[in-house]
Amino acid sequence: MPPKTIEVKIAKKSAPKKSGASFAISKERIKKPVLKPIAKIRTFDEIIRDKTARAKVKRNITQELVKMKKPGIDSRTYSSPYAYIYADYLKGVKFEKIMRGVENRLTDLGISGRIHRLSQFKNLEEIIEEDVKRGVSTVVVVGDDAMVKEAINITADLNVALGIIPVGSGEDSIAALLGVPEGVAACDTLSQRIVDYLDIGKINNKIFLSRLSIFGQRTPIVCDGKYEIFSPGGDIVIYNLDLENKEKLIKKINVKDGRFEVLVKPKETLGMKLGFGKAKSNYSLFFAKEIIMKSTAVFSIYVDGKKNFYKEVEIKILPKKLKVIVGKNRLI
Amino acid sequence: MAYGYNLMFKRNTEEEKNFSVENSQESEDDLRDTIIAQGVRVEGDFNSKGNVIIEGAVMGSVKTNNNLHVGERAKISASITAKDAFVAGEIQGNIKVREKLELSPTSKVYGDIEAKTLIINAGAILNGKCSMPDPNAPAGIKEKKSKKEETPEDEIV
Repeated sequence: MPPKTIEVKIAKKSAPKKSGASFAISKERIKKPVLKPIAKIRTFDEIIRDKTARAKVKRNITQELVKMKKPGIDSRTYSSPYAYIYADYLKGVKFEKIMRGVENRLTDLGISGRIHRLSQFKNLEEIIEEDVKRGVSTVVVVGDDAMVKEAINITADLNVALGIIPVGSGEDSIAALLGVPEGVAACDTLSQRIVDYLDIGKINNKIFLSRLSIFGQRTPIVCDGKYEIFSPGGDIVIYNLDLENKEKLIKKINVKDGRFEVLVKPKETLGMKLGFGKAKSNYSLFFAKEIIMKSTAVFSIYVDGKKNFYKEVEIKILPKKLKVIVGKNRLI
Repeated sequence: MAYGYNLMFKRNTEEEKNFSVENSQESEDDLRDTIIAQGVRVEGDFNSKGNVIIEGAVMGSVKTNNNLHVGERAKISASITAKDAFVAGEIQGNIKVREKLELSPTSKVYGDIEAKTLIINAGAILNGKCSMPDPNAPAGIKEKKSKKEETPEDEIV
């Protein structure tokens, strides 16, 4: 059998007449660009239709979730009874490490809660009131004395326990008095939850924690509506709590006795200044629940160190009104 | 023993009972000393459960369930009620003390005194009546005596 011959037709490309070798190579190497399929352009109506459909699905899901929830529980209540309010100055990098440590410790102890950071547009009063509405029973202030005082003004009228985590500023005399250590260690004090009730003073409608000072008395003070004390030109300090813990004239200023300690220092006469006065005690001490001062002229009273002017003043003690979390090493 | 002693001498009067009950209810805070220093004037009814030390001026009335100390420079125009009292200053008013009253040499008292035990030191000035209840006298006789004193017949006699 003769071998079959296969005819292979090779189509010869006709070479261009005026082309060189170099041109032929470059043409082979050039790849043709791959064109991507053009996305389908949606019309405006289609877009709107999609959006409405998505919204509809979302709405259905939320409705089903609401149905699944128990009817007794308000959807707005927080899961944790704790709320933490950070001071404005804690924003910086300086306190980042401490704050992270505090947050981690709180999570470890199982007492973490909602965190608020104070700013120009966030009011402490609004935050606390909103939190209380949502079932928060413990408000923890993370900051200094000034913020704690502000928080006391608000929490005194609400049935909320106040906790303190002193961080940063160094002005933490209230925390020190309550036996709360600074920084992360305060978290352990919070978790131990020793609750104490303290008295609070009220001057007209303003609340104060520590003391009222009257320098150079001109208006007599009426205590408990029964007797009147007058020491012309003398200084009067009405104590509820001695924050500095420096008053040594009184053995112990008790913040839980339901009374003010009224300390009257008479005006120093020349004889007293020269040391001729033989008086055993140069100060007077009274105890009162209610104090009234009335005058035709304006007189000044320093409320927790801030000067205020009055013509008529009613000072009352609110016994055991403030609920605070204290530490074991408290000084009160 | 104490109960028997009280029964024998009838010392557990109602007043004393009430006083002891009051004392048991008083806390340590209530019993803190009140001080009225020199240069301070107090007007009105002053009541206290603890000790009272007066070096200044008081007008009105002073009542305390505990001790009263009136300093040398004190000037009091008030009726006084106390458990024990030591007076070194000037008092214009009646003094009623349940237990012991001591008048120091510098004291000046213009008013009636009632005390169970009375000590008057030499130099003290006292202008007023002085009465001391007899601890051994039975309570019934006391009451009868007081009733008799009130009757108009006695006044005529």
